Amino acid sequence: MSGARLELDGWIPYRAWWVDGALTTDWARLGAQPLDAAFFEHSVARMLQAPFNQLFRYRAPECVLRRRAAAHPGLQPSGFIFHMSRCGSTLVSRLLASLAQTGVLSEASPIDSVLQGVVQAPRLCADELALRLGWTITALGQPRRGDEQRLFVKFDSWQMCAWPLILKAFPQTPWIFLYRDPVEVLASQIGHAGIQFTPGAMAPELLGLDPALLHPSMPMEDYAAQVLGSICDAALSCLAKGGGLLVNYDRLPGAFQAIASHFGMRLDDDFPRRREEILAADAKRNGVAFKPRAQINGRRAPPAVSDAAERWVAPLYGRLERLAGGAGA
Amino acid sequence: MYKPRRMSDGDLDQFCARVLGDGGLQAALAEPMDPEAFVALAVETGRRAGLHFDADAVRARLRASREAFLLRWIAP
Repeated sequence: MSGARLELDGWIPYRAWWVDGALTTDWARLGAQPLDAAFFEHSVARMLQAPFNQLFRYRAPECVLRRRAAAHPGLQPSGFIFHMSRCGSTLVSRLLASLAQTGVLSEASPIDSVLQGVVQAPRLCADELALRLGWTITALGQPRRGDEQRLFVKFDSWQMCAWPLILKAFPQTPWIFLYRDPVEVLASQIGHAGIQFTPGAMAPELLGLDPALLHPSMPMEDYAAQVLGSICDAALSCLAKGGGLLVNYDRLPGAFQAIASHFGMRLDDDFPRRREEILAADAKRNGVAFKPRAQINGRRAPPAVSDAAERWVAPLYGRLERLAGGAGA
Repeated sequence: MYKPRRMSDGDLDQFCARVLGDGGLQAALAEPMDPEAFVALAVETGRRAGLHFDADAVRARLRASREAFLLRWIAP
């Protein structure tokens, strides 16, 4: 395709990976469709079902991403959502997406790929990685319907640990951190673990873990609790830089008002109706209403879970709770 | 494994490259969600542009694309 005319308006990079220190992307045409599924991957799967996107895809070298960002600056993020996992971040992102003129990128895999550049493209410095993060979010955050005014980015839980890189790219963007009783989060993760909580699945550097503290025979509870502790520790460090709001899962959905205010938004008169619709349908469990699962997971937590949470996360959770008095909802 | 290219693959490749550079063609071809309607439109649009490939060539590309999507978590 070198030198050939290229028209990528309405296209997004739906997948990214590193080749010899350069970010390669696969693009498909989204058109005017918003990325309105609860998770980016769900929107991508729907997009790729279109026959058009099965015949016409484009694999782009890094320069395309750079040029697109320069020519089409798009929406700059209005806010970031960080979280511990299993603590209401999907609910918050869906509530944000229900607001007029608002788009949400929810755990977009190209962003994940860029942030993994720390280990997959080690020759790039932080400034160079931050540039690529900006290009990627710009490409993903292009207006779809034409009336969008705000863009929010919900990161995957481990990406709290990448906050220095994220805030290097977007130093003025306000953010929130959703957290929850670590016993409850850990019990949920042990039952159905995300990749970042699976021993050996991700490089320790990405998770802020000290390799010296890891060993092959470490119980999964201890490993996952270390990851949770690292995420909480990163949130505490980031909080010191300003721009953050701490939100305990227990205060959802009521705390959404404070979240909207933190992001400089007012809730319109129709918002309560939309909120009830969203609360009636848990995005992760078809046909099931959202409800806090504290008792479901926490009450029955086995000793290995509660011991690991106590050892690796409880002190950090306590600090979050104390600080939430001054910087929380 | 060696797979011989179909005679019409060259024209189909040219067609794909042309569509990537033409927003109007993209908008028209993005309309059909039914695979067979899309195949017919692609063949006809190509023919009008002087690019000749048959419906089976397009179907084969669609099938390969779906298979690649299923494998995408295994290898880039």
